[in-house]
Amino acid sequence: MEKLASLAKLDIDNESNLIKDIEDVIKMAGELKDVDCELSDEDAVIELRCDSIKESFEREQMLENAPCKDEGYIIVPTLWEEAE
Amino acid sequence: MIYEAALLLREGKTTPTELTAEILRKIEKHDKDLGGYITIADNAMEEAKKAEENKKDSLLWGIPIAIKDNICTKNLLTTAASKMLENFVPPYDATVTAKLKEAGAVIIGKTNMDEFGMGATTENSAFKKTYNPVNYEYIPGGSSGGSCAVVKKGLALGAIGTDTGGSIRQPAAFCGIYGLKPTYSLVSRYGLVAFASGLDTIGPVGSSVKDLAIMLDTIAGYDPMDATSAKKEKECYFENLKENMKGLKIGVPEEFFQNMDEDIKNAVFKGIRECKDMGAEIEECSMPSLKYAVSSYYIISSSEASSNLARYDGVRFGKRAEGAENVEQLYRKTRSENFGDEVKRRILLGTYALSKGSYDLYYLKAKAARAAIKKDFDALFEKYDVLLTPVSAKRVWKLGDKLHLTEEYKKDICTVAVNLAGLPAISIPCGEDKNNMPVGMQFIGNRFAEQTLLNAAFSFEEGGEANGI
Repeated sequence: MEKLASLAKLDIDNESNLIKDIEDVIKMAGELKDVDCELSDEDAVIELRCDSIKESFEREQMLENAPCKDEGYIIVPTLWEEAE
Repeated sequence: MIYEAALLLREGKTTPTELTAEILRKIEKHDKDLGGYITIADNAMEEAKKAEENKKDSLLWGIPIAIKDNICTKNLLTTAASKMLENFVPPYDATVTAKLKEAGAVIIGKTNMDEFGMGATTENSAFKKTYNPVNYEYIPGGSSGGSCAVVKKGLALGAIGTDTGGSIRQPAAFCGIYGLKPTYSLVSRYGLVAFASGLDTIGPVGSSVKDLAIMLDTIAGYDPMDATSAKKEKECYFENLKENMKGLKIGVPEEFFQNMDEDIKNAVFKGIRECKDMGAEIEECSMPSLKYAVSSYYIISSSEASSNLARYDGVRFGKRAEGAENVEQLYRKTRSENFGDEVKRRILLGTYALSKGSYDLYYLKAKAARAAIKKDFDALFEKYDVLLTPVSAKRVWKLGDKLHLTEEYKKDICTVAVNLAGLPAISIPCGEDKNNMPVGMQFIGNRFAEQTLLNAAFSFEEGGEANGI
């Protein structure tokens, strides 16, 4: 469960019902092992927009929803410690 | 109500400002108890005045419309009923919002829902509960519970909801109104807070079939901003609305009728008999793959959700947890503190289904089940114009009543297969259960057969009224 929580970037309390809930749903989904049908790729066709530069939003406007910012940049905790 | 109000507006018997003021008065009076709205647009009167000065041809001109709170509205709070987005004010309109505004509709507010659309009761909102307007002891259904409740109570003339696994149709049925889940790709999702991108659809809820057709006319259509949007010629659903029940070939798949509450079964069977009396050709048929629908749906939708919701990391937008010492802690603390339990459950389930060792066993199998479901529907639509089923096999339940989780999920059996196959379906009232609460039935159509569905529902509505429903 800790591995799963780590992949999902969540902290899970060991006392929580979540673990049991997930186990129950996975158990229910066990019925899918009997499915016998070829996968089709017909729904995989997606037409993408042309990857071109055009005007969208102002930087300041986009940063309005950023939880922590300074002079047009988003602030995050330190990623790498400075080498000794 | 939209249609009737549009006529009054055109005849000059009322004005957009009068109509908006009246709705705002009703909201003020009733929404404290109903809990349908998360946010009321404080510029609604201003927008109504603007509409008044700029008359449009659309039947939505001057009409107060509510929008589910997972659809972006420029400069108006859009929370998806999550603490994570408690303060999120979009800098842009979703395509659906922009189209409604362009038609001259007045956006009156944003409606309550289950967090990110995950739930069937609207009890999973981080902010408030919504009550069923027919009887406040009951849930309104979900996840578009707010949209359906406000329409039923008259706190908006129509509303927009979203449907990933039944979230328009089930609350519409439980509140006794009409709801349409369009064909996947008919309505643009640009600006929708994504839950499961391969299943999410946006559609109208209203108090009549005419109202659904009027709203669908405005919101449907190709949009280059949504890569999955269908390039299709625009149809005129309202203009082409006509009764089509005589000679309509209706298939009734028996698997949708299993484990039903007896009173629900009676109400839906009564609906089927009404259709037959109106000249429809009814035939029982079978859809063997339906038994996999719930498992397939929960694996696929949760997998997509686990990926879609990875964006909520406390960095670019949304909430950020205090006191994180490094980036990993920032992610985990932010997500753990601001997602509700159901959202965490689905993220974990999806992460599990996509992880090494489980992918073949669950995710690919769920996709195979989805292919089987599509195949079964295709075979049925070679024979029938529409399928007729219940919306929910179970009667609406009281707030707080909870079953075991997998039993809760299994209640979605009548709606989720439609999303897996990308089909359109419409939920229409067909009677009452033993507690005098509304019961709905569902017409399912082939891809892009919205007109056939609306016409069938319209026939039933007109014929049903004549028969005292």
